[in-house]
Amino acid sequence: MSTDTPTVKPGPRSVFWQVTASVVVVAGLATVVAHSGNTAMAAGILTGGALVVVAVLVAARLYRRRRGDVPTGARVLAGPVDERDRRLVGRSWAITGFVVTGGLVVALLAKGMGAQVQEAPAVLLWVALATLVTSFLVLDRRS
Amino acid sequence: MKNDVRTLREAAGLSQAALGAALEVSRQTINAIETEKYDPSLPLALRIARYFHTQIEEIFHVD
Repeated sequence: MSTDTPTVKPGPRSVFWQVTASVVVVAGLATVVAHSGNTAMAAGILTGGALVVVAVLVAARLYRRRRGDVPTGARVLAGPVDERDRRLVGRSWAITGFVVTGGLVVALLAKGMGAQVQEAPAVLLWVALATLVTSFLVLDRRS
Repeated sequence: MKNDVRTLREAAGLSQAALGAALEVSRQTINAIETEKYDPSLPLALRIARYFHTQIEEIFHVD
């Protein structure tokens, strides 16, 4: 019987684009929060987000070197991804978009009724992150 | 979708990871196909059929 071997390692270009996308997302989140007036939280997002992105990439790389069987999450972060991984990521983003859109509608309706919604952007960002991670884990387990 | 991938893989003496490497997908994808939790794309289904020298219809069965 053949021994288990990991799939082909990703090229540096795919890793570059994933790192770039992560930096863009973190910077975008920080910008949105800063525009809402919460500059302290924006600074925290930049610092914490950058640290998390770096830590996860390093962990994924270390994990790949130690074991031949790479978890789905590590493959999505560090590559290479296959069609199932791409489908999982796409569906997770779709669910996240649906939830965030619903949240935005609720926030707008609340604002229209006179509610104070200054914290809504920050709350929606955390909800989006939690939804993305949770949906990815659930879909990975179920498919 | 019901399929005979596991039967064919075991008859060939391959592990899930080995078959995944041959088809350029992950071990998890092979496992998901075998447990019928994931339906492969048409290109992947064609690669599976060609790998085992058979037709798609003989591997994948519509419920």
